[in-house]
Amino acid sequence: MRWFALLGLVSACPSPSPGTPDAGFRDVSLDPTNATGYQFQTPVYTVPEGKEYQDCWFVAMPDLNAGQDYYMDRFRLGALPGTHHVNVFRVKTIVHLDGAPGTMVHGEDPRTDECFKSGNWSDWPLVVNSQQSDAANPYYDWHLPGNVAHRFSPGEKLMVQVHYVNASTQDTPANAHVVLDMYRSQAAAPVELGTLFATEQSIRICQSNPNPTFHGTCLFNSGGTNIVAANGHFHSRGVSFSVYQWDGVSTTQPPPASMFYSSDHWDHPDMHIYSPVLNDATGGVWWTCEFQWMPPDPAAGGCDAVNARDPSTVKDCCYTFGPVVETSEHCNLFLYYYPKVAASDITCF
Amino acid sequence: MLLRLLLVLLLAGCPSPANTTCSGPVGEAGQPVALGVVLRGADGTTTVAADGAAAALIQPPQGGKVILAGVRARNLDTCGVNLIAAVRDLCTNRVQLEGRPVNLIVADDGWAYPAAPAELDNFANIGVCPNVSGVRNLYGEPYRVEVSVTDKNGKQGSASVMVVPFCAEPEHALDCACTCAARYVLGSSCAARPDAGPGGCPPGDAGVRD
Repeated sequence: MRWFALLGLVSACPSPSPGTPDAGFRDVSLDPTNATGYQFQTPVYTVPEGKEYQDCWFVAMPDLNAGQDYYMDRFRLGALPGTHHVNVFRVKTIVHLDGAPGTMVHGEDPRTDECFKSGNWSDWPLVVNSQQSDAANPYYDWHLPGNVAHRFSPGEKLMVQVHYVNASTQDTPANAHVVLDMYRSQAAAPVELGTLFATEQSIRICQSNPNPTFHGTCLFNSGGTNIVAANGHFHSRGVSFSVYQWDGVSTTQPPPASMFYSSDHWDHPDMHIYSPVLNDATGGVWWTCEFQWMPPDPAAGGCDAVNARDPSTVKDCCYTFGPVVETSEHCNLFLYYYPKVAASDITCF
Repeated sequence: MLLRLLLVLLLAGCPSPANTTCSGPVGEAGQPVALGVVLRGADGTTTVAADGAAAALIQPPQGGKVILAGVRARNLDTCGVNLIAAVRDLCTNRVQLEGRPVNLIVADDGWAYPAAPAELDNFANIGVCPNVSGVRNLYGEPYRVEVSVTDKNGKQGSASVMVVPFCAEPEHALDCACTCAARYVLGSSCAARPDAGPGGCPPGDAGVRD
């Protein structure tokens, strides 16, 4: 049985305009062979020059197993260039962001629009993410290790967050379009995948201190964790994102030999898949984000726009935490592991 | 459970800097770095913490709960000090930590304090909740806050203090009690306040409490 989330038709919020990708850009499409899993796609839409759209689509997982839970072990995300990220979360505590399955909450103004406010999904476990934005390779196709899978319940609500940027630091040369295929696992008793989503709070990259590094740590629930995949996320002031295996006890940065992830490409960071998986007997990860301050684009408002986002009374053209690529920064870690322990994914904020 | 009396040295109006950049070298260059742990409360006030101090669990804009820990220091360069601050559970010896550059500014007492103490970014934002990996509650139990600094000349110093975290924001009290409880399951309902459970180190954990 094929499940489509036919979107845009039922949205109660402003819908992007359907369109057709420009010539020269191969559109992305759902996998026609995925006959037993789950499929979702956004409409094809345009992002005007100088704009960032962050849209939160709500979907309900179908009943694929006669009312019982089931597992997915392959995820295929396709996106036309210009996507800043696609994040999929399990919807839990509702703060100010929600929608009926099949609807979308549009985000355009980070000051007011709920799809931009991360506090709305602070306890929503990560399912899968992609930052791939490459016309030559628009699909991120991830097969989980053998006998490892994500577990879902019939009717479970997910949020698919799609961020497109068409501005000075990143552009959307054609239209915007995202497709997602999830594939059923055929394993009899899969081991459940766990996810770890961690962010650095209250970061600040200032003109007067232009090369700061921030450090964060996150503990696993137990030893014996197998790290399956990882990727880091920051914006254009980010110069180096590193993740280390860490003993969960030391308060000094682990040695270089412990580093298992590194990225210096802010706009298309590597999603590193570990094969074989990375065994971690010690209990945690340590990550660092190194930034280099750069003058903001005058066309995006320059330092006035950056200062306007800064909650501090001290205005030093500081990029602070926020989702807007042009005027704010992130330092986020996405990590996938197994086995999930005590039924809990992990967040570290 | 051993709870010490809260001995918090309230700085009578923690120095309010005339400007909020940094003070350059403070103290005596030839002396070791002198350091104390500074905690920020939910109301924006700061205290120099002594053993047994109450440490506020605060919800920052991104969610979760953090302990905001900084330093007061002497005998170092106060501009762009690299701060690492950790909360250690002495039952398991495991820590959560955060590190960042901070600026300090000298006060009348000769110590340098967070340059803009009202701001979250002047402190390490030590994320401790959701308490998914913790074996005991994050509130009402003793934990150790450890801080270390390195100034731009490579001078280093460290300090630690035992604290008792508490849910400091009434508007987030229910959520705090739930998500900071031991072995919280991410996304589980916080509609009802869970039992706090017994205090002290759970059986089977290799306690290293000193």
